[in-house]
Amino acid sequence: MGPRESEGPTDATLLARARGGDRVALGTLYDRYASPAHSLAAHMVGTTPAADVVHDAFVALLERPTTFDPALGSFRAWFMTAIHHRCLNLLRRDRPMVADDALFEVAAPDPEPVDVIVQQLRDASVREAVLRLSVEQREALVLAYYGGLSQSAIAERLNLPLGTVKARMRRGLITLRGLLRGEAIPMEMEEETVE
Amino acid sequence: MTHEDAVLLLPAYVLGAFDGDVAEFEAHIDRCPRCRIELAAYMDTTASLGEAVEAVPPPASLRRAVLDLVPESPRPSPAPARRFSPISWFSAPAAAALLAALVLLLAVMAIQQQQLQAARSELALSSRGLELLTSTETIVQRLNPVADPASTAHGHWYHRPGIDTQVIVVEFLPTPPAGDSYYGWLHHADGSWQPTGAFSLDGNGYGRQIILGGDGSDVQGVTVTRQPKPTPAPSGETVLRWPAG
Repeated sequence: MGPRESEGPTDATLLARARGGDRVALGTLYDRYASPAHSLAAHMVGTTPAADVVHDAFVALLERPTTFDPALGSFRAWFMTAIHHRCLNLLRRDRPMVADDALFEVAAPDPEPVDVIVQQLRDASVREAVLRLSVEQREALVLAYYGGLSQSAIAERLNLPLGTVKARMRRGLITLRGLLRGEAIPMEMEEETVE
Repeated sequence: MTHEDAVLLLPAYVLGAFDGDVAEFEAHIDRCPRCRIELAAYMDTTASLGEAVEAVPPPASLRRAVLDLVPESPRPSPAPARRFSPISWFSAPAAAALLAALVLLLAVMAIQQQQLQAARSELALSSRGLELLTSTETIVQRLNPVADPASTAHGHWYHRPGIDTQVIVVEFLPTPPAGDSYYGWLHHADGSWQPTGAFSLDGNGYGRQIILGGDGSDVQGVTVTRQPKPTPAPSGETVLRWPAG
């Protein structure tokens, strides 16, 4: 968390200064986002690799100027998405290719049951919003985001057509966005299928 | 890939569940402003999902490792080793030249020593400023533009009770007219003014001052003026001010 007033230098300004060699700016950016980023990474890949994930995200941030474009939304959203995707890459890369390697620590076992994952969410407003989604939408979002499953894997796991999974993700995300903004839940629409 | 195709894939992409042709999809995103707007909105939502998990504080060593990604203030390189030519030690002109060279070398080394000391002092000062700026207890006041409220120029004053360091940061200040500079001022409760010096601005009109020797608890106003030279109290046009009015 940063200073009390939220009107300090913008994230884009801090990033520009950090890329120009300003350690104070980098430190401020770190203090704003490292904690939630590390929490997410620790949740997904475990505490030991989490620090590396966050560190590598900052390396990419400083070394590749095209990685973040302020025109594409907030730095916060972009950085958390970058962390999430890095975790997924790590999980998918580290999944053991041979089943008989008993000593190999499986980085991404089957996700916990959806309801267990949701109940473990610390942020009550997000938890309640997720719980207000339909069971199908919640399942699709949670298995994808927290479980790290691809849309094809979810379709296979739930024995559903891929188009149905895509549709549930889309409707679920749109509904969740509205709920987090305090909007009323939209009228349930007939489940669509996207091909 | 059509726009309609991409719109349907955006959620899976943001959720990290997209397992189709990412390159083709991202190529569409790059040239489609509507998709980019939609993508930003979805990312905002998934960021909330990410922030909702149980907090796991990062190890203290991570902060240092990240800060080390930016090199510390450049330090002067040590004086290059000099190899003396095999001149005759018995030649008076050569001896004089050697003496002059030695004097010059000592002078250069003294200057470099001063620069090194200055760099170290700046680094220590930056560390104190960093500590203040990143503390959750730090109080921040915004310095607003005076002449043109619509101007993007602004500043912030950071202080924390009990910590004898204050920081003034200014942003987007226009280049002052030739001969003028921007000066910072703290206005104390007893009516006195404390000059904090001239700002050194970068190309974006950004400047920072780290002030040691007071926690700001008796400061009732912070001002930035534009004036030609330092004075005991503000004497130029007030550009930024806290509090407003």
